[in-house]
Amino acid sequence: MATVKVLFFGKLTDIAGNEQLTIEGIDYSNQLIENLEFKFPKIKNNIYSIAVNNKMIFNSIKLENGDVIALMPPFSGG
Amino acid sequence: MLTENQKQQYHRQILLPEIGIDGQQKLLNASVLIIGLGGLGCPVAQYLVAAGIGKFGLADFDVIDFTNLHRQIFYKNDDVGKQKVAVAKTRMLQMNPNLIIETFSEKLDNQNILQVIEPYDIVLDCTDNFSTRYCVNDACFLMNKPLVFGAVSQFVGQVTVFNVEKDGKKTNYRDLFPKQPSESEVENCSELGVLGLTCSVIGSFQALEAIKYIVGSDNIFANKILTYNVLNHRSYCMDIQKNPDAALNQPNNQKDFLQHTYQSHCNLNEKYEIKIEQLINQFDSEKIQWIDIRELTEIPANPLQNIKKMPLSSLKIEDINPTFEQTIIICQSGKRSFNFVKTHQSSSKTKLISLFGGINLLQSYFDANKR
Repeated sequence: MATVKVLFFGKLTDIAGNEQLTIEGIDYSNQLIENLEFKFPKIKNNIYSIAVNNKMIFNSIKLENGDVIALMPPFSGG
Repeated sequence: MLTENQKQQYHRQILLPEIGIDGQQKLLNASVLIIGLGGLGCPVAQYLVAAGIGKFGLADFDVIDFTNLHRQIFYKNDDVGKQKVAVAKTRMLQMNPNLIIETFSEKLDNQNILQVIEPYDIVLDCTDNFSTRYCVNDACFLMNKPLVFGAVSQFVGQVTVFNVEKDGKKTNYRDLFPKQPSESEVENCSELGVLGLTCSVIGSFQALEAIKYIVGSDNIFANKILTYNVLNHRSYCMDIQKNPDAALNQPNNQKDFLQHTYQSHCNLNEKYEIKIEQLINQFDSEKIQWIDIRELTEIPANPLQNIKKMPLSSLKIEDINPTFEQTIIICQSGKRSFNFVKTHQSSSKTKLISLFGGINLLQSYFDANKR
């Protein structure tokens, strides 16, 4: 069970009410996403890419203590 | 060869080993296409002109709106109503009269963009909507053009460079977000709010990346995306990986590209807006009145005959004749009219409705249909 830091960007910051959160008791990245979607159901209505320790991931991976997970939505403004 | 005058003008940047005489020559020879001359495009253009880029393409179909001035720093009060590309071109030539500048004031889409992009060395995406961003991305992918991407949302911006091979890898926007977001997944197109400086910071980063690419710097910011928050100065870099879903969604030849749908998600909010196509045959209806709420100085003139001019700055809701069934409110782009209708619709006796796309779309409709 790992304790990890989650970074939110753009609209997701508003949904989570914070730019960063610490989440405990997580083994895998998909479990973290389920946990976040349960806490903040509106996250489900958004698309975002996921990075673990600054590297994009496409499939669930095992998380370690201190890992930093980022949820990055697309921005369109200019 | 650089002239003595040019050596003097660019002396301070020629001193940098990363640029030097060779780099400056490359900048002078380079051709850059800036798509979108708004909050991002203005600082991009200013810095690239100052750095000595020799040839520009400017693409934007929009005209200058009063609400643009706080962040689109090329434009002044007197420019409201004028084509952005025309005013930007004038300002750029004031900075450097030797520039070659080509302007494109038609809306870029998958039917015309390939020809526009073709002659340029590098493209900068300074647009403000997903449908154009995906179209520009896919066009650059197909033509293997380097693309400097910049986007903002409130106080945060994103920057990266697509289609440049680095460490044996080349990525584009579809690797980050394979599918164009659907309507429920994007922020409402009608403005979240943005500070001009956020655009300026991100636009400056874009100009920097373009210069780095042109002079052949090893530090080109490809395969990574920077997110920068101007409120707390936190930055975050993410490595972009080749996304297995990208190829499934990306047109990989010209034929597919031409047939691909780049859905515009700035869709109508039907409670408050109406499209010009829904009003065909009703231009002369006695049940409808048309009100242009732009300021009197704004151009172009409204192409419709029976239209009242009631500038927003002095408009009171009680001044609007309540005897018509429906009142169509028009401004330049449909934003001011939308906000006006949203605020006053519930208290109005006549049904207020905003014309989607404003005079801009109305004019294009008339041009296309030569009524």
